[in-house]
Amino acid sequence: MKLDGHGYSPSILHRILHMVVVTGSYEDAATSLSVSSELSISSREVNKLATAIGTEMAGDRDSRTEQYVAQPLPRKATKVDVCPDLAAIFCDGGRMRTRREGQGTGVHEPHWRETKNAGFHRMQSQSFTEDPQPDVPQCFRDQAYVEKLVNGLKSLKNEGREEETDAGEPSGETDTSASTNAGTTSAWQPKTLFRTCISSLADSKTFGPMMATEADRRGFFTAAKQAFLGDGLAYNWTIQKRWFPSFTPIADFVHVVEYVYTTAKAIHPEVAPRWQQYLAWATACWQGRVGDVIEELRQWQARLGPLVKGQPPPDGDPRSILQSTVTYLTNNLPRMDYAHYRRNGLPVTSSQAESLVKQISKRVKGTEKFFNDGRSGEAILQLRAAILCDDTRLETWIRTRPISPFSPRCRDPNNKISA
Amino acid sequence: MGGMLWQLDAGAPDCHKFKDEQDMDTKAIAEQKLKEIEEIAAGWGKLLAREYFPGGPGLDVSLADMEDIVARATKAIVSGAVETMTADQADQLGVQAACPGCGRMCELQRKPRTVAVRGGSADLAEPVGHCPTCRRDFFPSA
Repeated sequence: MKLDGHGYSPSILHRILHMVVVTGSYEDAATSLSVSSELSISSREVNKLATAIGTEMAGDRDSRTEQYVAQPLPRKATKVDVCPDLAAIFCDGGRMRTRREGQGTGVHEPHWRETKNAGFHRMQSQSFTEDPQPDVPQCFRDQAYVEKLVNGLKSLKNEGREEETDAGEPSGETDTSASTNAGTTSAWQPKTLFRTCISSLADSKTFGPMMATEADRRGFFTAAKQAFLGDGLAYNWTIQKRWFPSFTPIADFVHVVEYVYTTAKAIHPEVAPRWQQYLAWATACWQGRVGDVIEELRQWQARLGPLVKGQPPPDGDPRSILQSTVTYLTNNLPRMDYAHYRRNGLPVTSSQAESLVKQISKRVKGTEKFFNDGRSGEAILQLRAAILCDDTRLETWIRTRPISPFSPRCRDPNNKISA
Repeated sequence: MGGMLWQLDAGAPDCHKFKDEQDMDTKAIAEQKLKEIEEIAAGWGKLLAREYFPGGPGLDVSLADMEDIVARATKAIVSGAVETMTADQADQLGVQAACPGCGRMCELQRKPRTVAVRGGSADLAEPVGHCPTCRRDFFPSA
């Protein structure tokens, strides 16, 4: 009967957990269930169920990952009935506030944790003999749009979402709508047919094999075209090299826009020459001439002089901005052949990842919202990611999960998870 | 349990796990049976209306009032049907079952429990075994 010790049928359990992740809190979920399903349940019970089932899902993911990793090399790629035309993986980090586990009620030792998120898109893609869009898209030639886009990304950086460590309290809400909307209208761009996603508090070393397991489950390693997209963060590319060596690594073009716009702003105080400079650099990068831009930036560095060692430059110093842009472009140069990617019908922005992070954050991030840095934090990410998938993995899990015939009739809640 | 029609990625390997031709035949039969049940239940609904309002509802009866009456009746149908089906299923287990741990045959007893189900709740008499060797209870319906 797939009945565990909780007193809810699998379909009712599915409703409870669905409500947990589409509403803002356990209290909201309990109230919504009372109104919409005439189900009387306390917020504490909702919380316990979410943690228990989410932990089970994390445990299942970990055992599948262990099995995948333990395969003899070379691993045999899972074949699927419909081989993906383009398998694209979008990877990005998010942030959520957590508290120390096992300290009773209240918030103890509050701190920010990075969530790792990855979207797996089966996409429809074409190939072209020539670059289908040699000119920079209109949105990146719209000054107001670019300004908004760059400010949104900078807010995220201030939050520490794109940095490895940040002990401080980040600012409030951010606007990355410009980023998530970037370049979504052109006809040449690949179209998502089916998406699944995963999310975890695990570190990048652990998250990499989780990603590979999900990709293999979807048959991504047999796809005709394979792409791996991320921002400039180093761990993205470590994961790509270790677990997805056959995938084409692509650095998000939106971040390039951010870097070159910020640099143009730093070296040109007046608006008109600044915009012209940005357009020239953005166009060169879009067309795959990133080396030319690096060369030009180095000339600017020579003109402005070097940074003095041991003396931190003041905020907004053009020399330090130039240096960070040169470093970013140089480090990511092999992943910025955008004209080539477009000819192959590959995506060039990681807007799908930005979008996924926003969708995950909608449930886990908010004022005075804390999850335990451990089980409950990892559990809510499992549930939220499950309902964002195009398949019905949450319902499938609830209906098919193994239940121990012994009392208590559910899995050991302390089973080992990666977070 | 029927209704295992979960949407899966057409490209995923497990998408045909539940869907071979035999399943399709079984599904078609089940669908036909469900249609018959729906017709019977619609007849019960008409009877219920006549029972509650022999002369038809007055103009002061709102749609919400009608819904309340029907919801109560529906909950009773759900309880009755689920309790009967689960009891029939429990009967198939017999009076003894093997302990999942050691395999020793143990006597089954019935323990009452209330379970929230879609559309209401059901009082189940769940079979429970106690293994003296393993010194723990087990639940064959898990």
